[in-house]
Amino acid sequence: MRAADHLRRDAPSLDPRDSLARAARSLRGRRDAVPVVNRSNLVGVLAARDLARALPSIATTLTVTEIGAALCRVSVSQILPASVVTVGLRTSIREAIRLMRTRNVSLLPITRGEEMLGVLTEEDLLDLLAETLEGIT
Amino acid sequence: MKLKTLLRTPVITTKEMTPIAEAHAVMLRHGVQYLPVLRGNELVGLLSEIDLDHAAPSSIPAIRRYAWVATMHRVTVADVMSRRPRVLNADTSVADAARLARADGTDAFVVVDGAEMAGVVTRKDLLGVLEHCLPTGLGHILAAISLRSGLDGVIGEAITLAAANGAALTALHVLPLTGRLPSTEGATAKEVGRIEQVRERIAREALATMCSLGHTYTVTCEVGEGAVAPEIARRAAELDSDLIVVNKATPRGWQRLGRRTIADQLVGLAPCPVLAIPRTPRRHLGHASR
Repeated sequence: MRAADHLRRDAPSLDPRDSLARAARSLRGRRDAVPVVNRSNLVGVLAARDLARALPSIATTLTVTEIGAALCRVSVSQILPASVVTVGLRTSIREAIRLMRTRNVSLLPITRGEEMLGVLTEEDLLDLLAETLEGIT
Repeated sequence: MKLKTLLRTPVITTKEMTPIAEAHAVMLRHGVQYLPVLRGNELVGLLSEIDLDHAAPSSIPAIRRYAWVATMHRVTVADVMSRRPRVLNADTSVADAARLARADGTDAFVVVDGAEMAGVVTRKDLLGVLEHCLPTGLGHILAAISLRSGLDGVIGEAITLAAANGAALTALHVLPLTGRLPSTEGATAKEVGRIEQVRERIAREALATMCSLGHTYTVTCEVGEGAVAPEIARRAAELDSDLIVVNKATPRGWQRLGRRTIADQLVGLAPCPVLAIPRTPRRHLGHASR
């Protein structure tokens, strides 16, 4: 069973020039992550944790309005992690899970060269887990 | 399978009034990403790394300069924790927990056994179950062998790997010649005989290796021809191989001046990972398997 069998092509993505205010709308869940794509080429993956690190501390002198304005001025590319974990079409699901667990990521872009073909998400794997265990029992 | 099988002991917890820096140090020390928060023996929340990220000053200098750094040491776990953690019983099945995590986006469950807190199960723990349920991903192995230099451990390693993973195994020897294979129209009886001889020799070598390893396995023996590395890569693609096992010859003398080994060439051409085996005496392989 390969990662390509669970490839999701319609996953939402961000542009590196998008603002953090827009990224915040895509990353509502604590484990959410979204690929950042420039003309179908993968630039990186932005996770909810990266956004949490960029947001003001709870002990800040900024007001809610000022925080909103500040987030509109910062682009996704400014907080995008330098490294990204990707898999190819032939990567096995088992290897993809191992990568997700050891690198602590919840989304793996599936790429051919720099081109992003789709993503493999933790949600799809949780569905697969429930199905697999039902098959065993 | 039940959640209780995934629990780790001892359960690492924290208290409401613990400063967040101290709680973070506990997480790092124990290599955990979640800490159940207790008031006495009562569970009142769950602290995760992302809660600590939210509490910390921004990574962006333009926003960080507005952080009230002097008050940071006063921030406690109670200020940043999630107050309504999802709680499941230790007898809940892993499949049900996976469905729940999927349905409401929960990243970690606090697990209780009766009235006692038993631990935390995260999405990563659940996916670990799936990782071990699935086959290893090695469905087919192609052992690229060289009869001229001897099988040198390639076939032994390939048989061991294939047997351990239940993978199909093909042993391929490529003749670096421009003759015609039996399948080629117009091949002479002499050419057909030569190919059969090579195929038989592969089979004999494979059988001898199996005897030394002490177990048997089905090996398909094939003979190809042409440029060696491209032909191995082409056949691996045709067979949908998950791994190529090949001999890694050590170039000697003038060969080191730019001549690339078959293994080196394959790394750039192969459609799957390549396992290069250094040449070892065959008796060593038999010894290692025991």
